[in-house]
Amino acid sequence: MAAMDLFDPGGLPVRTACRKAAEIAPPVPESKPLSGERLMMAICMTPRSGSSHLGALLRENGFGQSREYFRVAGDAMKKFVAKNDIQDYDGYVRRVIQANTREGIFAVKLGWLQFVPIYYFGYFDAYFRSAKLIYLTRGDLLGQAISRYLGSETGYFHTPLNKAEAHTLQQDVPMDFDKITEHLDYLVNVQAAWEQFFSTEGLTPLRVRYEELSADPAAVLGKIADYVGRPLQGDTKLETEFKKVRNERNERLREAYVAESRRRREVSRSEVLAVLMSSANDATAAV
Amino acid sequence: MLGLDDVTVRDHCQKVASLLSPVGAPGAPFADVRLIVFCAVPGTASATLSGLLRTGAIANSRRHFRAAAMKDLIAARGLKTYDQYVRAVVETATRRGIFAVECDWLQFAPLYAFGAYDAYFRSARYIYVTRGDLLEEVLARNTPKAEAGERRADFDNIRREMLALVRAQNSWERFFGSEGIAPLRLRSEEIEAEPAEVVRRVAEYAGTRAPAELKLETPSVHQTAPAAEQRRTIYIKRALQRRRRFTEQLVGSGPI
Repeated sequence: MAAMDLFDPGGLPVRTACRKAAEIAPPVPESKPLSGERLMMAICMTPRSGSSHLGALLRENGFGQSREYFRVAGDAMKKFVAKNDIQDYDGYVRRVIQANTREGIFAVKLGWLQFVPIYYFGYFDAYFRSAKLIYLTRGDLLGQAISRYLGSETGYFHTPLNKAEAHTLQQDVPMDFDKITEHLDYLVNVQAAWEQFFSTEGLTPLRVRYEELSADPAAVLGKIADYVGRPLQGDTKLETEFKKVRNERNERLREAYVAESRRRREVSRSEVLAVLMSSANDATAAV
Repeated sequence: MLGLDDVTVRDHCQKVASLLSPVGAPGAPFADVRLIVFCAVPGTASATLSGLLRTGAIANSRRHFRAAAMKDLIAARGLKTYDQYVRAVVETATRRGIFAVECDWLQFAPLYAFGAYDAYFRSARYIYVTRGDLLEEVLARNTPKAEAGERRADFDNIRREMLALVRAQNSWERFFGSEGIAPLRLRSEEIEAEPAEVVRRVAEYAGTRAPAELKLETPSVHQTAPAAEQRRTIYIKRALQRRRRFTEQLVGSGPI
């Protein structure tokens, strides 16, 4: 019988994520100790929550590199494994940590599906147990789902860096209710998975919201510096290459999505009420 | 679409429908009443927050959609439809132009499914209260009961309750998402640590103002009982064993 995922996966492809990671670098039961002392930081992120902006802020201010080293999609991990003649997942984790530690800090951004191989292969216990965890979410989940939908439809997720990419911001994208709902469900499930993980491991992450980060990045940076016990040095650098890509297109999609959601709800209501009334009548008759 | 695919929610809606007819033409929206909904999850400090708002003279926040509370008003007024109930409770519980209600997802579901949300609560302010630590939420809620003799197979019981809380949170999140609502998000830990600050934030969010000299009774800070601590330790230990079993299967000879 298949052992169960510890958390309610809510349809998240946890096994697939582990399988893909294992294909690139197979897990081994033993992990070797890491040489040298370092502060370990992990941004536990949900998609489209400002993690690129936060990562850049942390880099600019001397808090490690903060990049997505455990991303299986694309071929960065595969290339790194080949280039460094890495034999297994333990070797990958160790090499990534060693190669990307700056001034005694290793910082990584982790999506849930990037994290599950680390967790289930046993490397969370070996390397990340004492890491400082920063949990990044967004208060407006519909805004987040629309942002993810637009990114996946246009293939562009960040501020355009050159003129050739600028058109993606203006590209007309139709409102697709089912697709946006899928993104919304994905975000809800990812948040639920992180929350269950924190509780089950007895961890208290620093919680940061996209909205706080947008409104006052200096305050967020100060909060993180306090949390990890490394005071900010000198002037805080707040300019990064990342800018918001949200525009009136996001608002248009939001309005259309809510309107469609209400229309569908209205259609299903009469059906639901008929069933409820009939059950209530049956119950009364039985009494 | 209405959250009724969850059997517990559907059963509750049926129970409410047996008290009051869900069908009834809605009245006009409430003029000059600000509606505030405290979206609660069991085991959080939402009741503490409601108490603070009452003692701070901000709002008469109560669980107005709890079945027991409903029965009293239904009997007193001879109400027949759910819509009549909503109108009656808003009328009787509004203080200084604010109607505040604390409800968990189960209590809110009939409001959403029967049409009262669309008729009256679309423009309400939503305040969502959760606890940072889900396990603490479960233990805070059911340890006394577990101590009273139901303390068996704790891991599975706690996990089941944790998943129920996750489902409740997910229902709220899906509701906010579907309606494009960005609620004011509060954590129980904040309410317990800085009650006056939270009350001021809530008042501001609700479009009112807390009195300059806010008199609040200090809420009792949630403390973990020794029995709950013991159960937490056991749960974490069992979870680790469960994770190892899952890992063994992932890493073992068979395909992942």
